[in-house]
Amino acid sequence: MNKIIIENDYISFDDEEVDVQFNTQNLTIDITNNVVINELNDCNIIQKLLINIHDNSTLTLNIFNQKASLNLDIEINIYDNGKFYGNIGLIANTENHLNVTTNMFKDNIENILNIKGISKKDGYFNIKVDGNVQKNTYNNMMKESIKILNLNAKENKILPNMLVATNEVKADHFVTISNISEPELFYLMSKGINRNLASKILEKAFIFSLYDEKVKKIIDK
Amino acid sequence: MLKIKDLTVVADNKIILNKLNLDIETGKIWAIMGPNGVGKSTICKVLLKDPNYLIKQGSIIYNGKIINDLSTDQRAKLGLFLIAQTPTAIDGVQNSEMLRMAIANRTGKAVDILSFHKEIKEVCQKLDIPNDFIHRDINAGMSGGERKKNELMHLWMLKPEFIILDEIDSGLDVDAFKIVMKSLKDYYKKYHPSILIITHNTKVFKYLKPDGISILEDGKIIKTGTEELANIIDENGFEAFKVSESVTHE
Repeated sequence: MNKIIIENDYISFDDEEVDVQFNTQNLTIDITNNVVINELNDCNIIQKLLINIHDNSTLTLNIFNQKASLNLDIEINIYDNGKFYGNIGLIANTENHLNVTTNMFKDNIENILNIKGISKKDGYFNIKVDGNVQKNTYNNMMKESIKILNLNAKENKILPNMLVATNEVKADHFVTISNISEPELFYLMSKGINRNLASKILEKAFIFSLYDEKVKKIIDK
Repeated sequence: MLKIKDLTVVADNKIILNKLNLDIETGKIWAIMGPNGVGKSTICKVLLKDPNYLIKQGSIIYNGKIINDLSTDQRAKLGLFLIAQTPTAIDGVQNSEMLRMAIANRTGKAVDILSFHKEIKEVCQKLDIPNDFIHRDINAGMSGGERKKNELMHLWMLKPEFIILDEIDSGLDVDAFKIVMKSLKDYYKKYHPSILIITHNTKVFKYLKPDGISILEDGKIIKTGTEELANIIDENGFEAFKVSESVTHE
């Protein structure tokens, strides 16, 4: 698949899967029908990303960034019967700021956001996630999961917010900041893999479990 | 092959094993039995240097060398292999990926992919598991029986010389138990490894006949004998070996 390098401040996608590179600071994207966007390029140019998922449309957004210092605000507006699946994998060697706001404006919306980050060297995360469910909306579902693997002594800040203005919504959120699992490390070492390699395998697995096989292959390259 | 000499092990400031002694010769099958909570599983973990357990005294000797200071992976490279009671699941790491790395790490040579896949497919067939197990994440989303079969797939691929089975029957239904035990028996026939069986289920001995059985209580071996001990356990339970009534052998 060819990669689309986006340098303007607006683009729309309709029923397609695209590999993109955001080479602009501000970008608005309109989504109709079923769209998959893969931004897997360590791009640190983009600072503000606004996405509108229109009625009856679905967006799967895969983002992976392992080198750049990230400073990104993402706002996602989801309309009637819209579905958003966000998978954001970040490896921080320096400071990483990420704000994600999702707004659920109508009914029958699925909004699932998974963020995984590994803080290494001098890296740390400052992540804020706001999920907004508007008044007089029905049958919506919102899930936020943010997991940080902390491999240094830096302080990570995670602020998960769910702002719900209706009585009818299924919502849950989950935040962890942890080290590499010692039982998993022990298990791999018990098969004959040395500690250093076992740690690398587990770091990769932590991030890769966000994505499907196709995205994993692209990142592996 | 494996000697445990006066081994005292501590976890959370508690003595779990107390001056334990054990000697398993090459190609022999040895069983350690005992009720829950007496330290049976600790032996398995200490043999592979689980970081949660600290050796306070004594030594573990493998093929004539003290291995107390060797890391878990170094011990695995020597040929030690553990099938835990509940094998760990790891999301995002495929069996094939882990096995290729483990083989390369053990042998110091790159793995030939074609022969690797040919061999692992034969193993899957033997274990009555679908080929897609090869590319599944390690033990993730698997039932108890599937996990044990998955571990056996690792065993056949890594070909260890000393196998430690911690409650191998746990989580297995009747059919899975037969397949798992038959596979272990086949492995024993083919490669003649030493096997340490930790169990309280004597049905295991129908497939792997032990050369000796030791009874463990409070971190100590309180009795050692032949398979006849298993018959006594079946009839009278572990009550038959209370410290006050038994002769201690080490």
